[in-house]
Amino acid sequence: MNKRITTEQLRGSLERQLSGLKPDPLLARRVMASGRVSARKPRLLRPVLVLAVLMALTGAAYAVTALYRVVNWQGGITRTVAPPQTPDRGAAAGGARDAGEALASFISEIPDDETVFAWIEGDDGLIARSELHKKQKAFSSHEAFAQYMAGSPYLTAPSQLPDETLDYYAATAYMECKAFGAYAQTGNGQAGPVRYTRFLIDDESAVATGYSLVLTLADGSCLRIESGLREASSEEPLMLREGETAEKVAVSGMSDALLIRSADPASPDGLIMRRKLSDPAKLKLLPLNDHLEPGDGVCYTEEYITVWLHNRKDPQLLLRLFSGA
Amino acid sequence: MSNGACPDAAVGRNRRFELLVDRYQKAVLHMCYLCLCDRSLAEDAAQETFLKVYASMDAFRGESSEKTWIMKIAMNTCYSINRSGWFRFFNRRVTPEMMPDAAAETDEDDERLASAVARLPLRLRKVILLYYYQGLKVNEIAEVLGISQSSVSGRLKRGREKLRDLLEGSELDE
Repeated sequence: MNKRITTEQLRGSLERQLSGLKPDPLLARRVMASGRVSARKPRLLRPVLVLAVLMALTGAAYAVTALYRVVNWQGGITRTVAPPQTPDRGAAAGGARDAGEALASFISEIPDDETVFAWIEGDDGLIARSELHKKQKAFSSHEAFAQYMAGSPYLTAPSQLPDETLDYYAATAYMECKAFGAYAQTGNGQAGPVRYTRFLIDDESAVATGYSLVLTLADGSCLRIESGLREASSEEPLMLREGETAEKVAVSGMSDALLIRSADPASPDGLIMRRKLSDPAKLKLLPLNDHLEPGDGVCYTEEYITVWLHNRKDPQLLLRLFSGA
Repeated sequence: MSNGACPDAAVGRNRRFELLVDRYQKAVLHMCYLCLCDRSLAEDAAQETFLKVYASMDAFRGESSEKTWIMKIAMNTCYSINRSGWFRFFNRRVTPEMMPDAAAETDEDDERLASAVARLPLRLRKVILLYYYQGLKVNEIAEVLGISQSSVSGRLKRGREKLRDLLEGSELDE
């Protein structure tokens, strides 16, 4: 088809395609009520630390050239989507990197039992970078981690690890505050370029809402498992890259599970699972600065687990982890 | 606004902000979506954009148009999100919630065109969207993106060429 596309046609097409994206009628009021730049909804921030840790561990940097195929929980392809592109590099990127490093350095010094929201302002006085450190507990043995998780009402730990010698094991549980739990805002302040708000959640009020587990085996393979709670169920569990396939499998205790296999030896195989919570997790959202009132809550209804096995093609190992079979 | 500002000033400021949100929220949301390709992230980016607008509106001296100023903040916000490990990780492996279901009736051409635009490399996509979708001029786009006008013109040209390839010969009017 060779034809001219007018500006109006392009606009009209995009408008119609995006007509399902509705403006938020309460946005202005919410922003004015918050009164400060840092008073943002914390939805975006909650998983940051978990992922920062994972990024550091895996050095994950993904190719963004091919289209992704979106699969449903049956393993069927629902559509293809363009990947996000890597942004331009330049002086601004260097500045953002410096800010990120300053923030990461600050976050790395925070004790495990604190929850801290930290951010850096740009030259224009606006937030340039932000990060959340969650109250957490680290484990260096699976026995201790499994014992701790046995008491978790919401999270599922692997029931069986590979029957091989582990070269390395590290697990961390991340915690949030129960809806009717107690916490104290212990301070706001500034350290170098980093501004922060600190909280201490009572031990009795803290509940594990996610974990990360990384282990390496003697043959150089690496298992990476993450679990987290989510507010809403989705019929689209993930996007497949080129050369990957998804197969629906049964895993004990899980509502759905997909085995992901990659034709590329350098890419990991994986297992993606979800489990509907019989008793939803009701939690408190901590106010991210002293201009917000506490009391907002969140209700998680689903556990979402991802497992990736690097440097080894062994789907049976993946399937045994949670089935114990 | 200082804490000691008179109530009338505060009311006027808030009213002005409400007008800005009314006027530009949809454009910001759509641009954030088209840059981030994720509905939740786009909504977060739009909110963050207006938080920044609210915080800095007193400093806005009208040296550019309101739309240019707000688009610049929106694009910078998307840029920050784009660079975060959170974004890279989650776009790889977690629910994409990509193209929202259209509320209006669409046809094959709409989908083809929108899909082609979404497949443009981000640096070209931004320029094409700001020019054709948001109606900004070359000098305004240069200000929004912090690049020279000649760079904008070059990216516009490459964006049109790339779109022509993606659309199998159909061309955008210059």
